[in-house]
This record gives sequence, C-alpha cells and structure tokens, in this order.
Amino acid sequence: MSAYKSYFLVLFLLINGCASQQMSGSSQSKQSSSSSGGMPSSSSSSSMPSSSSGGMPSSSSSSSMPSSSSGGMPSSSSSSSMPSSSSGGMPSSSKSTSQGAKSQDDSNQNNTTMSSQAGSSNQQLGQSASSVFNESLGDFDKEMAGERDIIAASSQGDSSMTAQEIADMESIMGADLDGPIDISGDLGNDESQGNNDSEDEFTGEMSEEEISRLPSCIDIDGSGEDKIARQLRVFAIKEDDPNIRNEIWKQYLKHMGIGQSEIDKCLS
Amino acid sequence: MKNITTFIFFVCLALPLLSLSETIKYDKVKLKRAEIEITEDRLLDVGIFIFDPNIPEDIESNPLVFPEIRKAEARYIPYHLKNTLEETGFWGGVWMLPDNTKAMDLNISGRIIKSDGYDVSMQIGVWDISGKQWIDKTYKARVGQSSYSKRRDLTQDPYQSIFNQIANDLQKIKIGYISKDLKRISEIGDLRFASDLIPSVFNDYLVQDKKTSIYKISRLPADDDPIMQRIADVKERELLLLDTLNEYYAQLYREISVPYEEWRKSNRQNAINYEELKRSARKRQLLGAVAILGGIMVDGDSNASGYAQQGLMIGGMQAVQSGFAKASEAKIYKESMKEGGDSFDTQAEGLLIEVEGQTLRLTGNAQEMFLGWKKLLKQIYTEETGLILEEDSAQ
Repeated sequence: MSAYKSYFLVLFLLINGCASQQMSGSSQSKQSSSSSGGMPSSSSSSSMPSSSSGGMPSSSSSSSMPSSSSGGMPSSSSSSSMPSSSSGGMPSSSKSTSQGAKSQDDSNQNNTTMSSQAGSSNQQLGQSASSVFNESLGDFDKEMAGERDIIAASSQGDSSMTAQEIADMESIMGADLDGPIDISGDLGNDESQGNNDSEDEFTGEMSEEEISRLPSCIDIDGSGEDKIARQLRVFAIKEDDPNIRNEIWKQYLKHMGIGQSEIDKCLS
Repeated sequence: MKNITTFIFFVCLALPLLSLSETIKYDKVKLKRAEIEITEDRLLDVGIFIFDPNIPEDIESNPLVFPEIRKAEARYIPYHLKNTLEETGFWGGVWMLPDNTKAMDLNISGRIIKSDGYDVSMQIGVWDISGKQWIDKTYKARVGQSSYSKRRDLTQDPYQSIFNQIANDLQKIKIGYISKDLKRISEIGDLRFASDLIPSVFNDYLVQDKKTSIYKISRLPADDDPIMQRIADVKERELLLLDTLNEYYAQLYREISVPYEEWRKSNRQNAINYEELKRSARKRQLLGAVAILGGIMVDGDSNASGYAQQGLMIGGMQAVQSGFAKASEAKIYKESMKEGGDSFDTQAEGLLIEVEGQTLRLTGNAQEMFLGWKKLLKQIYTEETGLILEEDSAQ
C-alpha cells in the first residue's frame, strides 16, 4: 500500500514538475523570441512607425512588447456597450457605435492607468496577446468613463465652481490615477491663500525626480507665476512622456511671456 | 456765366460723394433638416478639425486681431458647426478633432479670415476619407443687430447663417451620392484606419491614384475577419476618446459663449461706428478739398463771385476740419474695440490653456495605449494566421 502511495506521490511530483517546466519553458520562449534576432516574431525588435495611430499624436517609442506563445483566441468583448455618460456634455454617437466596447462592470481591476505597461506585465504572466488586448480595451473604457465622470461632475454638480477649481479637481484625479504627485496641499493653498503664495509650498513638497523634470531655465520656486502657470507646471511635472512634457513646458514659457528663441534654447 | 458753370461743375463733382448711402442686406439662411430618419447606409461620420485661427505674423500692424480670441474662435466655431450638423439629422456622429485621424468618413477644415461681430468670413475645405474634395469655398456673412437679440432662439449663433450654409452645401453634395457610394466611402475609411494600425497587412487592400491621390479599394476583408473586428474595437476607442475630448471642448464652448457673444455684439457696434465715422471723415475731407479747389478756381470781379469764392473756401475748410474731427472720433471707437478685445483676449487665454492642457494629457496617455494596441494587433495576427509581418517602420 505504501508502495502505491510512494508511486502516486512520485507520479504527482513528476506531473507537477512537467507542468512547471512547461510554464517556465513558455516564458523563456517569450524572452528568447524578443531577444534573438533570428527568431521571427512580429514584435521582436520592431520599432513602431512614427506615423500617428488613427490620428493620435505619435511618439518615437521603440520598446517592443514580449511576444506571447499562446495561440488561443479568447472571444472579444463585443457584446457589451459603451460606457454611458451622464454628463451634460454632448457625446456623439457614431453610426456604428455600441459594438465592441467593454462594460465598466465586467472587470474588477482597480488600476485605471492607461498604459501598455500593464499589457506587457500581463503577457509576462502568460496571458495571450488577445486577452491582453481585450483587458487593455476594458482599462481604456474605465479610464474614459472616469474622465467623463469628472467632466459630468464639474458640469452638473456645482455650477458655481470656477474653471480653476475644476482643473484642480481633475489634477487631483489625475494624480490619484498616476500616482507620482500629490497636489492636495496645492489645492489647500488655493482655498486659503492668494495665487502666488501656494507655489512655495508646492515646490517645497517636490521630490528629486520632480525637480529633475524642471528645465534649467525655470525657477524652482515658481516666482512670478499666476494660477494658470502654476497649473501648467503641475501638468508638466506630472507628465511622464518627455515629448508631451516638453510641449506643456512650451505652453508654460509662452504664458510666462518668454520669447520663442529663448523657449527653444531653454528646452533644447 | 463762366462762374456759374464752374460752380455747377464742382457741385456735380461733389454730389456723388454726398449720395454714398449704403443699403445693407443681412444674410439669413435657413437650415435644412431631415424630415425622416436617415438609414444607416446613408450616414457618414464627420470630423471637424480645430480651425486655423489665421493670426497674422505681424500682429502689431493688425491691432484689431486678438490672438487669444482668434484661438478661442478656432475652437468655438467648429464646435458650433458640429452642433449644427448634428441638428440636421443627416449625419452619423460628428466630432471636433484636435488632430488628424482616419476614423472619420468626412473631414472638415476651416480658416478664419475675418470675424469682428459684424463681418464674418471663413474658408472651408471638406474631404471624404477617400481623398475626394467636397467643398473648397469662402463663406461670408454680414451680421445684423437682430442676430444678437436676447429674444431670439438662443441656440442660434449670431453667425448662424454661415453654419447653415455650410451644412446645406454638404447635404446638397451628399444627396448626389447613391447609398452604395456612401457605403464605399465608409469601407475605405475602415481600411485606412486598419492600414494605419497594421500597414503591412492592410496597405494592399487600397490603391491610391497617382494623379488624383484618391484611394480606391482593391479588395475587401471577409465580413467575419477577426482582426477587422479587433480593429473596429480600437476604432471604437478612438471615438470614445474623441467623445471625451469633445466634452472638454463642450465645456469651453459653454464657458466662452456668453462673453464671446458680448464681445461680438459690442465689437459689432464699435466696428459699424468706426467704419461709418471713417467713411464720413473721408467724405468731408474730400468735399472740403473740392470746395477749396472750387473756391480757388472761381474767377470774376463781381461781388457775387467774390462771395462765392469766400463761401467755398470757408465751407471747404470747415468741411476738412470736421473731417479730421470725425477721424479722431473714429479713433475712439477703434480704441474701444481694442480695449474690449484685450479684455476678452485675457479671459479667453485662461480657458484655452485649461482645455489645451486636458487635451494634451488625454491624447498623450491615449497615444501610449494606441501604440500598445498596434503591437498587440500584429502579434494577434501572427498568432492567428501564422504569417510573419514585415517591419512597418519602412512604410
């Protein structure tokens, strides 16, 4: 009897071992496919064309996604509807709307950050490209629904809210989603102090990484900034994409009355 | 006799100047609306780019063009055009676009040539996604005082005639297309969008005429092509992003509409007064000059001719003087326009920066997502078909 037990135990261990070997084998193949130049893979070492995707502004990102070894094709989430907006805005409906968008409720993920990084980490966990694709669509839908909730709240909730307050609220929401900057102190300053006093506290809270995102020509203490300039500074520091950050700094410097040649010199 | 002839000659010369009265015709164009629901095969999605504000480089010599107002108008006007097109019921979805996209069947671009609350002029270009031009036209209108009345239908913009005219022109062109041709435009749109995402797969589905640059379909994917379904999912997200961006534009539109109308209304009156005074000043100066010249030329020894000469000279000088007075009065209105413009210009700047900041943030985040989807779609295609795709960067 104990021999049988030992036999089953060995068999069980063997099966487990095979399974784990298979799993690690598949992740290895992902890595090798992305690193070996000879391996034909759609994603290996491919640099994306700089042309815009569907009209979106392009960036020169050259990162490659790890390829998935799974050939499975999970059904796409085509049965659900677009997230509806309760805002007073005027969302248009396409002649072909309501196909393909995932419902807000069908996923429990808390992270609503729009990033393909989530996709790559999921792929590393062994998910197929199509399931990563479907998940990222859902993430995007949630992100947009969140944005539209903010807009709806600002349009309906408090008609006496100033544009600045709306922007501050959106900045806070953005910071919550992206994580890196806490500007709650900034809002607090707004409520209690004048325009220019708040920058000191804000810059006082800046981390080294945030300070490193300041171009050399921009004062760290934000002297002479008005509310708009300060808001632009927050946006710029918060922005991870260097190209977009540069654009926001451009707007900031323009707003501060800096000439084009000096802006170019400053941001070069 | 000679004196009388000279006098009559100068009076005849001056008469046309006095009779320069202007009959102003204000344009009122009625919007055509769909009387029955349009079937889906006849609907096209329309995108309207943010207009070119057409701010002169030498802003110093154009003191009545206010850069921030122009920038605000470049967003307000396309948004109102979007509302007008939606109101007709002839179109599918209508969006205002911050940037180029392949997701629309019809694209509208515009350039503001003049907008001072009184005269408005804009150049409009419309192309379908195949590259065929529908409209290339300059629209002009003169705006009446009643267009600013508080008792009017407030959904109607003071420049409504131009918006209605554009919408009517578009409808007139669309009506010339049979349903099959409209469907073909949408199909080309889908393929151009697909080709933007996976060029190595979908570039072959379209051919572009070398002379006209117009796209034609060389072949169509299967109706149940799974990759096309996923591409449709991505397109849906692009429209969702545009919906969200359009809500920010809607906010700007709402926040700016009252001060913008106030500015246009007061600027209109100032512009009319300014033009009127300028014209009047010119007239008086000319008449005065003619009278002085007539006085000099009056010849004769009689008392009558002496009085006539004196009268013409004095009258002429007074006319010239009052012409200068009118000109300086006109300057006051010009200054008033400048002041009003500067004030609204500053107000508009804050609102614009806000919406531009949001647009940059949203499109920046979405850009990453779209790049990720491009890569994933290629992977999925390879997984499902076993075909290895060429590098797209070369295309």
